[in-house]
Amino acid sequence: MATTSKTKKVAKKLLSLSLDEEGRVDEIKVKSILESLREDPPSNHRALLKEYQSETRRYLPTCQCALEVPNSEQNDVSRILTGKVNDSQENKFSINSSQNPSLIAGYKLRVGDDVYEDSIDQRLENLRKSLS
Amino acid sequence: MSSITDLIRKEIEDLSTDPTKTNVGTITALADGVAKVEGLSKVMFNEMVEFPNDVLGIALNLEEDTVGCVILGDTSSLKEGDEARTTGKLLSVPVGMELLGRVVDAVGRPIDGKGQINTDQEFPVERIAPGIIPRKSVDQPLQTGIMAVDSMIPIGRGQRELIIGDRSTGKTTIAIDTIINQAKINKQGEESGDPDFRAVYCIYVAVGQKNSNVARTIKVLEETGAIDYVTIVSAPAADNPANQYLAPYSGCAIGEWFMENGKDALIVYDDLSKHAVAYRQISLILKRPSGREAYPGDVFYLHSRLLERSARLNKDNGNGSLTALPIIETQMGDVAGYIPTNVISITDGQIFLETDLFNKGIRPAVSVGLSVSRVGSAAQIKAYKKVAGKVKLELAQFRELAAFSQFESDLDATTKARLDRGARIVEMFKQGAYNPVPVEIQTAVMWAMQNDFFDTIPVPQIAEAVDSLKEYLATQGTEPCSEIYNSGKLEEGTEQKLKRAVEDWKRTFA
Repeated sequence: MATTSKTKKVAKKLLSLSLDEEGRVDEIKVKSILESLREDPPSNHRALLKEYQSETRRYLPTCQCALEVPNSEQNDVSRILTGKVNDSQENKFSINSSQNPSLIAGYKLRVGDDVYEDSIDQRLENLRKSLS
Repeated sequence: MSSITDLIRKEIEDLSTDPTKTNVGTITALADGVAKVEGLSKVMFNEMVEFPNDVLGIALNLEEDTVGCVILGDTSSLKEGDEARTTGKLLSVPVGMELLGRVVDAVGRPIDGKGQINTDQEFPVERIAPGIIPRKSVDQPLQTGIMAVDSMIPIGRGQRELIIGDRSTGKTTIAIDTIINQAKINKQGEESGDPDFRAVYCIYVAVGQKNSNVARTIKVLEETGAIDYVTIVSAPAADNPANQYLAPYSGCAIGEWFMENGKDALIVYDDLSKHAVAYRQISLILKRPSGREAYPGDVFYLHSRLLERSARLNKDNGNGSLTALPIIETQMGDVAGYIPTNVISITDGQIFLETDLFNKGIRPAVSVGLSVSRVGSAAQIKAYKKVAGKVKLELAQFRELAAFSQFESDLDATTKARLDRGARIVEMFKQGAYNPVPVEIQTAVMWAMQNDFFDTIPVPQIAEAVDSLKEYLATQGTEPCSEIYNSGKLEEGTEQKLKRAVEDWKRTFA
């Protein structure tokens, strides 16, 4: 059954109730919302939960920042970028750092659905495109 | 060796080393050439979107949570979860003189095996049509070389004239004849060295057609030597609907380059019925609300924004023009269908082809009553206007009288004369495919008809007589025709020379 606009509205409201003061999804708040829904289930319980899940899934990347660096030797870059992102975005983002050797050198930073990249891998890809 | 390494070094040096910013999304569903992408929050409408393996798409549906992208190319290499990236560019096609004589696909890539197209210019596929200020009214003729059209439904440069009719009634033939005639005129004009001569370059857009039909058209254009002035944009029936939807816009962008560079161009959309069907398919897959005959609500806008891009520009804007000949296929002669009425209301007239006439051997099967040119008569040359002014009325009266008189045994002399004249005009207008006639010869033949030179010839022999007169005027009695060609007028002196030439011909024909 298609999700009604009312269900969507309620799911959005639940998502807004799940956020902390800094705009991040708060696990404790989510748990308490789920508990109260379980105790007093609405008529469209399953549909509402599904919509709440997809709203949350869509929202989570917007308050997360994924930083990829090729190796642990670039921890300085990682630290500087993390500081810059936190300063510019009023500390709204939680930053996950990971290693991606395919970058060769440089970094790749994903903030929401924006990707900032300056890596050898990307330059080689640009070269391939310009030559093909 | 060193030059190769230098080349690569230069390419590396020219590469931007600045960090790039892109907006990305993830494919959540992929079906029938359309991808639903989550993310892409900064994508623009009609922006090109890049998928893995160099596959491109266009963002057509911007919804609250997802973006609907039509994929231009092979979707088999894509899967759910793949990343999509914005490019910040609108879809563009290569344009310029280098495209003449080439066959390209809907995004301007060559498909004729003649190598790359060496042009550095590109035009966006979707552009806003010229406004009121840069336009000028149609005042220059565009000769089709088809007597029935040039005399009764004249077309001017910058006009949009619809060719409409059932299947197999000769719609494409009229368009191809027109292209061949432009090539003939272009060659003649280039040889004459006239600095004021303006060539007409042609674009033929094949939408949803069989590849064999497109190949046949290319062969005809090659055999007649017209291919050097033509660009063919092909999105055949086997192509995905996104390419069929885009092809007319791509062709139009190629034509606009000519128009904006002060040149004249002619574009044939063959055909817009199939274009509407391709757009309906895309819209239904994108889950847009459907209306009459399941077409989406903006199917009128689909064609109006395309055809409005054909225009005649004024001198301040280069004096160029883009003439459009859209083709629409009707079902059982029904011109009141949804798409036919839409396109009829957008265009500046239509050439309606009738199945009955075609089957009777009257070819081109132009229906005089339903065909009209709303602006073209202003562009007709004076000599032709003088001799062809009454012919449409005479033929329309003939068709009406012929329908009523078939049950009458006793007809009065006036009716008989009208029927006789009408039958002769019908025979005169019969013309073989891919054999356009120069306008000066058309004028001379029409003059001979109006001055009763064919009255003594039996009706079944009129077509033969007309062919014979055309040949005579092209080979022996060339002087009056040259005068008409040079001046565009039929003055008394020319008329006397024409009279003598036709009398000479008649003696040889008899």
